[in-house]
Amino acid sequence: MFLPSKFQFKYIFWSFTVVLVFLVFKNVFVYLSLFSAQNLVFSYRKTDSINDLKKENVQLTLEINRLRSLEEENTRLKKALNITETSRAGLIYARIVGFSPSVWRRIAYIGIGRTQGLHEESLAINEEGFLVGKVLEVKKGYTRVGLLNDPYFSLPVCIEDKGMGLLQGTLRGNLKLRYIEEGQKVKEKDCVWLTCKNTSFPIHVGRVSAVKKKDDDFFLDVEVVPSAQIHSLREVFLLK
Amino acid sequence: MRLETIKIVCVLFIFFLLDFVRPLHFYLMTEFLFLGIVFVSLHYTLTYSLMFGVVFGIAKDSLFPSHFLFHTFCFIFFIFVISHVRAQFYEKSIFKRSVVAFSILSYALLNGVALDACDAGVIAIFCVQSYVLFYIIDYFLIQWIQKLSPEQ
Repeated sequence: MFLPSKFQFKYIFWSFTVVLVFLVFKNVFVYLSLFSAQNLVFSYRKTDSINDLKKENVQLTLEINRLRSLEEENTRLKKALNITETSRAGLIYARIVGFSPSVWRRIAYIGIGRTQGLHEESLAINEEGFLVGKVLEVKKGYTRVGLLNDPYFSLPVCIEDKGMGLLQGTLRGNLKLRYIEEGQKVKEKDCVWLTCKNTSFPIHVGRVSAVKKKDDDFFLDVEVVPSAQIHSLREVFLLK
Repeated sequence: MRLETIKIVCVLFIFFLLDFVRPLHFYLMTEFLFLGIVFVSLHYTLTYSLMFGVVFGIAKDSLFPSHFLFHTFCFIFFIFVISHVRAQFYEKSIFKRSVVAFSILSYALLNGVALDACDAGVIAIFCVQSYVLFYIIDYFLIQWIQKLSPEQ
């Protein structure tokens, strides 16, 4: 029977180790490649995108002025017809300055606090309007925000018009929906959303990716893929 | 010795910042400060290691208020274990590899159980990434710290 020699065995062992290390660090290599492509290799594209953004900024400024005048007209008309004013959501922009130093908690630290009008349980969204987390603790100069993939994260949410469930975070990134009954007829690709008392629009959380029924469990095992890219989050918008 | 102390403090502080700032977000699932503490325990005396373990453990726990002094006690425990094993099996090279692997795996399991976040995939990735990074850190750090020390 052919057996590999000592040299061949060593070669096979090191090849296997290299492949294993590559698999484990695959996400790191992908992130580094994308980061260097965006910032080092294709930096000339950044100049073009800055000019496009400046143009868009001017257009948006003109649009804002037009909408402001419409709003003033709207307020005057509402006052004349005695219609009650509805409140509008206030948004606070914040950059993430750091994360919890433990790998087992996904908590972001932002550099603003109580003085900016933040309070506990405020929702955090990204620039696309998708939910990314909620405020855990507010101090004078900083705030701790629990991200969606924090294992201690939980929030009641709606699944289209099929009822409500409790959204819970997991370290892997996919979220779990608890207390979903079979009668709610939740299926894959259903939209998961929630409302905030300060906004008139729903906040999108994600979509159902898998629905499983376990024999020994009364409730369904539902997984949700979040719409927001939490792994590369650097700034958030907080709803007052 | 004083210069070595300053270098170790700088290195551990940089590791602490790396764990906090996370330039690679959570794609890189390792805790550099823990790897630094294991490094110090392997190469320096118990008292010396304990001093760093307590100081940086408290610093880490200040950003982790949900579990009181959890990381401080973890660091102290692993420093004692590593120092004790080092005293028994000082000359054997297999000791270093085994104790590093045991420390990383135990730390991952301890965190997973204590924080109620046991996930086999996350623990496996943490262990492999930490193990590989430890040997890279160990190789460069030991050369840098010992090469530039005037007492050598």
